[in-house]
Amino acid sequence: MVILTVAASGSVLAQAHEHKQGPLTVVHPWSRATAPSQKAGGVFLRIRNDSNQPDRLIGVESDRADVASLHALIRDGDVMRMRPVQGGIEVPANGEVVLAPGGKHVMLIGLRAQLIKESNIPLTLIFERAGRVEIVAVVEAAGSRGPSGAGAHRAADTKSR
Amino acid sequence: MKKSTRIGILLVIVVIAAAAAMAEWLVIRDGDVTKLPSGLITSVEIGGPFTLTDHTGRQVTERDYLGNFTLIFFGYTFCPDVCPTELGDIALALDELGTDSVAVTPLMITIDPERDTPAKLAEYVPLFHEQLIGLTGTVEQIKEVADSYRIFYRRVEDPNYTYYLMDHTSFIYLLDPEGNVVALFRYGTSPEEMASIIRRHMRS
Ligand SMILES: [Cu+2]
Repeated sequence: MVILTVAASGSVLAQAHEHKQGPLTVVHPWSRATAPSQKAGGVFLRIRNDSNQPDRLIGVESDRADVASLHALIRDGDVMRMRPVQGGIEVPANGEVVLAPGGKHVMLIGLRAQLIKESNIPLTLIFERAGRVEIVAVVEAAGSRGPSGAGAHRAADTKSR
Repeated sequence: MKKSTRIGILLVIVVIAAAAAMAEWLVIRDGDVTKLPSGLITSVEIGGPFTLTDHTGRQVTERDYLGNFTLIFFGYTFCPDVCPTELGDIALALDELGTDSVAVTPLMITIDPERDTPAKLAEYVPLFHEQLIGLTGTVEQIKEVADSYRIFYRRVEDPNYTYYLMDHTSFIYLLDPEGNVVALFRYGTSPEEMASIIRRHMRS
């Protein structure tokens, strides 16, 4: 079951939104706008676990890309390396895990269409215990740091509308 | 420029050179900076001449950007995380500078010239800032400019994908209007900090 909690006005998912399934809550999945021929994108989100049992995010699916996978950014001195996550991502009992820029993300490779600001990306997260959780990520500005972080540059913001 | 700032930058430059000599890529850790003997300071240069193609298809050299401050970031458009973050931060730093931002030219030099054609960069750079200029070139031209700026990059193939990713150093350099590198911003430098350092150099 998917419950969408949406703030009143504006475009549907522009506000913070969440998806609840059993003890898991996926909080504000979001992505960044891409150029028309850009073939990769990242999706960021937070997962809260209100259960006494840990869970594990083990996979992701999306029909918007050829491949959807879990990635981590590894900072090696000043070199940035992006690698697939081995063995999934743990969601601690009565805790949360954050997939955010500079850390982990859902990687979409081979985007089938441009990600346009304020559009939505349906995804399925696959958990060891909770099973499949359908979510919808909202596309923010290309240079966005996230829904709660500092707002993206103003001009680019209006331009990509 | 304040003397302490200058020494700080030079120390960073020395560390870069030392690391470049020792490793296949640059590993610069903050702790190393304080351990460095100051005698080594003057021997290394960062940056230098380049010939590249901008996102409008025009051939350019470093001389085209003299007279203005320049921010140089090395990245690639296939990058879903680091590059959009850094370019977004550059845009925010320019916002922070307000009207002074006209004195700054932001450049993104691709380290993935095989995929990042001028046409691709032309689609990409305006997503971040209207002043941002994308630069690409031949494989050799990119290698040359990346080497002169001590940028490590390497293609990473994954047998599961037909696409590839790039490992790369994530530095933003600040050049003064004469083309000298005067500051280096590491990944994670806030837009406010970047803006305040740029402003300090504008006043010195
Ligand atoms: Cu990735």
